[in-house]
Amino acid sequence: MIYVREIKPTDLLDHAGIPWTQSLPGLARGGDASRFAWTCCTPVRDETVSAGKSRLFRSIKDECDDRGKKSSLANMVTALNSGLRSDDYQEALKGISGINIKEAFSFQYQSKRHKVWEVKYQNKDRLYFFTLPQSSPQKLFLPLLFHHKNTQTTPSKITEYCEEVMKPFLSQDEQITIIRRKS
Amino acid sequence: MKDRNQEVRRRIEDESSMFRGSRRMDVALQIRERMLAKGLRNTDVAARLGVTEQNISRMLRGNQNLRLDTLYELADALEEPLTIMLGANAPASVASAVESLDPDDQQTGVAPREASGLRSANRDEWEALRLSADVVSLDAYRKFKPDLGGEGARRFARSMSGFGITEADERMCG
Repeated sequence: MIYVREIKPTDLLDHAGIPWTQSLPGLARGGDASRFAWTCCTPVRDETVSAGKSRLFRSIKDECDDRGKKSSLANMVTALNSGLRSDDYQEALKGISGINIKEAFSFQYQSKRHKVWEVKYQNKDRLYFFTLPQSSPQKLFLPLLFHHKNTQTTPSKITEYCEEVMKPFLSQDEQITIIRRKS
Repeated sequence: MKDRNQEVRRRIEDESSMFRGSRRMDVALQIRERMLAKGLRNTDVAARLGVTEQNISRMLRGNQNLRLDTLYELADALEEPLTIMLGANAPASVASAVESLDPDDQQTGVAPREASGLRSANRDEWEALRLSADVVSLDAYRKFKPDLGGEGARRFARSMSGFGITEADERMCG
């Protein structure tokens, strides 16, 4: 059994201490605009682990530590907050200045090549994520880590973690439990 | 008021550059969402406004400081109302912020709003607390309530309603 905790993209801003409710209240838009095509969630060890204790949120607390990085994160979340409402989130964000969604790296597992993606704003700050295969009935968008990238290549601690977390999801044997957010 | 003005100015200087990109992007994205929902392409909006498709594409890149007139024209082209309201969204967005916080961090609480009815000494302390955080713990909030009396306290409690203030809290105000 693998566990994921449902989150909202704006939760990432809360955990970075970014006062979005005052400065970006449009992100909380409701009504028809509140429907998301993708469920955003982050892997947790089990149901006792809160989102705040997840590796994703810890990476935000650890690395999103100055105004520039917070601005980048705000831009990335603003983009995802919109893009994830569409089935084709990449198409929905095409042409948005500064936002780039691309393959970060890939690895071999069970005779297939699997991609880890990144959404980045400009050059350095990025959010690594993956999505469940399209064939899966559960359309999940899973951000894994926030990272301020200073090197040409992706650090091994990033690639190793992402690969380790993703493998159970890619196995057909494991059942995914989504711990729903209180609405 | 002079001190308050300086505080607000400092916050604006600090935050405006942080949010400038996101604010512009969010407006463009909202327009694009409505276009998608209505099956409108850039060429359709361009035709409705009598401008080039490149013009619309540039407007919707998310990095433009769109004029108010342009925003209204885009809304008209989408046949959508454009609503600009100061503070109107605060309850929904703050409630969202409160519910999203991790209980383990013990930050679940209320959003510090403008505190009418506080006596002056408490008000300064409340304002300092409010500027330092988007939400304060319920314990911190309750610290100020005992100092309020009667109708002032009730008004304060009612102004926070929707953010987790219970009837019991109201009765405590006296």
